[in-house]
Amino acid sequence: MVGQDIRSRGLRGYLGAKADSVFERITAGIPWRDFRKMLRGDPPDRPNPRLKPHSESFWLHIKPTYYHESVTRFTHTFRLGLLSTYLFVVELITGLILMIWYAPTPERAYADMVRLLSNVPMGQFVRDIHRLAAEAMVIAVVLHMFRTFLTGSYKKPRQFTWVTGVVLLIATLFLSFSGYLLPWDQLAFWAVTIGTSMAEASPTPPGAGWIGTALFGTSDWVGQFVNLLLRGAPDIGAGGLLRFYLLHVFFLPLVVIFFFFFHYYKVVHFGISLPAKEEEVGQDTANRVPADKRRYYLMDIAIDEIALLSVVTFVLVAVSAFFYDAKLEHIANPLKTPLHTTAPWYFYWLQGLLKIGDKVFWGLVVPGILIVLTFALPYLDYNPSRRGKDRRYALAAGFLFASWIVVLSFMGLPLYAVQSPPAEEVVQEFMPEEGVGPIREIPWSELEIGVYDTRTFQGSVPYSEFERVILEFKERIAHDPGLPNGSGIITVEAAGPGLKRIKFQIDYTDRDGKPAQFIKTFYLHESSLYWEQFTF
Amino acid sequence: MYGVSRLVIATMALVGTFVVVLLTAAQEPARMERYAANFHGREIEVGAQIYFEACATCHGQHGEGLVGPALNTADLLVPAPGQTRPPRLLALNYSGDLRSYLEGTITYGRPGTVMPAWGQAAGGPYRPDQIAALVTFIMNWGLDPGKQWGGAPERVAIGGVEPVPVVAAVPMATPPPRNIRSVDLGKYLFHGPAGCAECHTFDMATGKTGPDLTDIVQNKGRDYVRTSIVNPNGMVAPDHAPGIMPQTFAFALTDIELESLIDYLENPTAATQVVFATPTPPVPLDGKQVAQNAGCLACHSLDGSPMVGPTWQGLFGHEVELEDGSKVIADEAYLYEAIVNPAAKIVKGYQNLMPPNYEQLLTPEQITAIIEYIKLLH
Repeated sequence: MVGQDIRSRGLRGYLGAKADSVFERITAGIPWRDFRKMLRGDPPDRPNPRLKPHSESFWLHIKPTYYHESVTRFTHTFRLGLLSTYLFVVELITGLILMIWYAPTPERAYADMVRLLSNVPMGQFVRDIHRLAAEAMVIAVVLHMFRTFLTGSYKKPRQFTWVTGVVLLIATLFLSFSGYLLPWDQLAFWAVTIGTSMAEASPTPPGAGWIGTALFGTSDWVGQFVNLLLRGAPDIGAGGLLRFYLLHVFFLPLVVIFFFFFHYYKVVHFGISLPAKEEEVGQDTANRVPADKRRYYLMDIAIDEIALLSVVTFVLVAVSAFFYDAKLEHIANPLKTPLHTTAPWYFYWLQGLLKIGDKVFWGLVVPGILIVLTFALPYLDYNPSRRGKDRRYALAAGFLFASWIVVLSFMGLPLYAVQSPPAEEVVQEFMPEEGVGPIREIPWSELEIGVYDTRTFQGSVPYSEFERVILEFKERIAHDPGLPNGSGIITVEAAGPGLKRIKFQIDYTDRDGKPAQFIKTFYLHESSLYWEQFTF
Repeated sequence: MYGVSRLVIATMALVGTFVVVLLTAAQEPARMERYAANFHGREIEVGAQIYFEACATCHGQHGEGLVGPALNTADLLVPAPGQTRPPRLLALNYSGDLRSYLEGTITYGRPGTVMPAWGQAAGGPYRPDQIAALVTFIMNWGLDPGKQWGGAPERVAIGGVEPVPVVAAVPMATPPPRNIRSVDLGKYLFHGPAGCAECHTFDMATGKTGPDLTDIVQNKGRDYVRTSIVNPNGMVAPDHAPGIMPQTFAFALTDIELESLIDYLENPTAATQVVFATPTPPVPLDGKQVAQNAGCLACHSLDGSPMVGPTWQGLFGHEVELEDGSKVIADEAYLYEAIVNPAAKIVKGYQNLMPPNYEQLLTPEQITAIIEYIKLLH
């Protein structure tokens, strides 16, 4: 066979044909001549060989061959769906790298984190990207949904695309949240304890008590059962960590991947909805693209996407390298609740809701109704028009809802959290349990040994950094309405080689007019340098 | 043609990404070293918190050893010459390293002594990471073994709250016999070898680790007290954590000793003599450090130069002329009075500016230490 070929075409002709066929297998059907033209941006041959990869190749078969010119404008979609997908891929890759150095047990998890940060080259960098991309993904997905709402793209025939999108939104939130627990530090432990305690509040529906009586020996069983299911034990421990780990690295990614293909198939099938003003109300012409309006995926749109994703990658990498550090607090301590525990920021609205009142109603019933409404939106909104002027009520409701979420999130801020006794709050401001605070920012050697009493302390101009902080401390106590006749003493002592003991003492008159005192002692080592890892 | 700008942007972004990654990679060795130091420092801080909360009552504020053995010594912390292990481990013929020795001892305790098991593995309160942090703190002393770190300024917190008075321990001539049940034996054990007084008080005072024991036998009965001593986690007093009190007293005390201890708790005033012994002699105070912390040196010079107050140089044993023209010899009694009651005798040429409250701020031992220091300044 080979011999015959060579004889009929000559060696050069044979090798040329062979090279062509290998090339076309790699490019899924584009001959090299047209490939060069494609790279240069010249129009394709007729018949267009650049359509072939969309039927031949796996990755390109899920992409449409061309788009309507109007939907490719950046401001129409902001490419937020692509961005979310890309961030998810970044999460998969960085997550896989992080898994190499991580074991999900309480004995090892935190030590593994410390090892990752202090003994794995680029370990911190990869962790920072993973964390940053996760938060960016939450933002991208939420904005993507909001854009879809604003352009009315959830309307017929795309109702079910919206439903799968809501599933992806919820999965994204829980992906991010389940990853929270894995470092096994105080932040992780208590945020997740708060989160799962909401599940514990689940009420038993009336008439279902007998199931619990039969199986668990208690009629009020649903909350306990859900809690046990999530935490693996009454409190978070080895079981809970393993469950959250499996949710994070296996179950939820699987849900996202499954629903992503579901979602994206529908996006391609129905096409991206055109700007509302370009078609008649009630019509959907996204799939009927006139020849002069077509923009082909190869290579035009592909270059758009590559340029966008390159910039996103650069921003992610540069921010992680120079501006952002994922925090690692002290190791989880179930016996010591931090002063201010908070949920992740994307659940602040839920914390805000919980402050309104009853845990069951505001923590479960209201969010439950919200989720159902979000799912049902395309079926409830029967208005066929996607034009803004026809959708005044829907848009007003949408913006109202968005601002309501923002207000609730504000209410969920630590600022509005339950305050501890004033003296404790003052010390927390100057030397927080976690993070930096003014005292830890002072160079260790400038924390001079001595007793600094706010009643007698003057300092001398020019003030050292430490003296300035002591004067701030003095002002802070003097102006705190919760600390009448307040005065403070900061004692700095040596407590070991390179170690200082910093004791805060605040004396004041309590509500009963009796003298009261608050004392808290910290130790500070010269090389801890907290600010190095809490730059953001 | 495609828009050149898109290709330029994409190329620049990719090159930028590459450069940033390279820059980061180049700094990695230094960053990892810094982070290792950061976490080492934080571990020491955590260990210090635990040491001063749980260990210092028996092993001393400076690790100098009280009821428990000394920890802050070269004997334990510094490898013997030509060896990888310190002398104490060599003497025990312990084959592991110092860290494993300390972690093992702390986790499992020392059966037969008052040292309890602190590790959760043996029923104690602390997780393995906490014990590792504690050991890091103890081993950190090895950088300068035996040195006493701080401790003094707390007593000169001017305007602060009165420090808890330190009860001077009076050495006893002979301990009561340990095979005869007596209130004296109970008192001896309570303040001495059993170490109860390190954590418990009798005078409604708070601030110690364990509950106050005033009238404990009258209120709860002998059985409750006996059970609580041999099985401290059986019944835990409100506001106190389980697992702190050693669980080794059942082995460490004989029945006679146990009953004597309860006799003493039932009726502490029946003890005949102040008979408790100090396990170690009191540590001599550094007079200069005390003087510095108390603020003396702000007004008194050490080199003969005139300041607000008279210089200390060549003061002791010499004649001092007073305001009224009389002359006194600066002996110990004079100096003591001059410190606690400065207005009594004013040195000629000086005004009565010295604070009159040093008797409240300083203990007699600290005042004596200052006088001893002045003696050295010929």
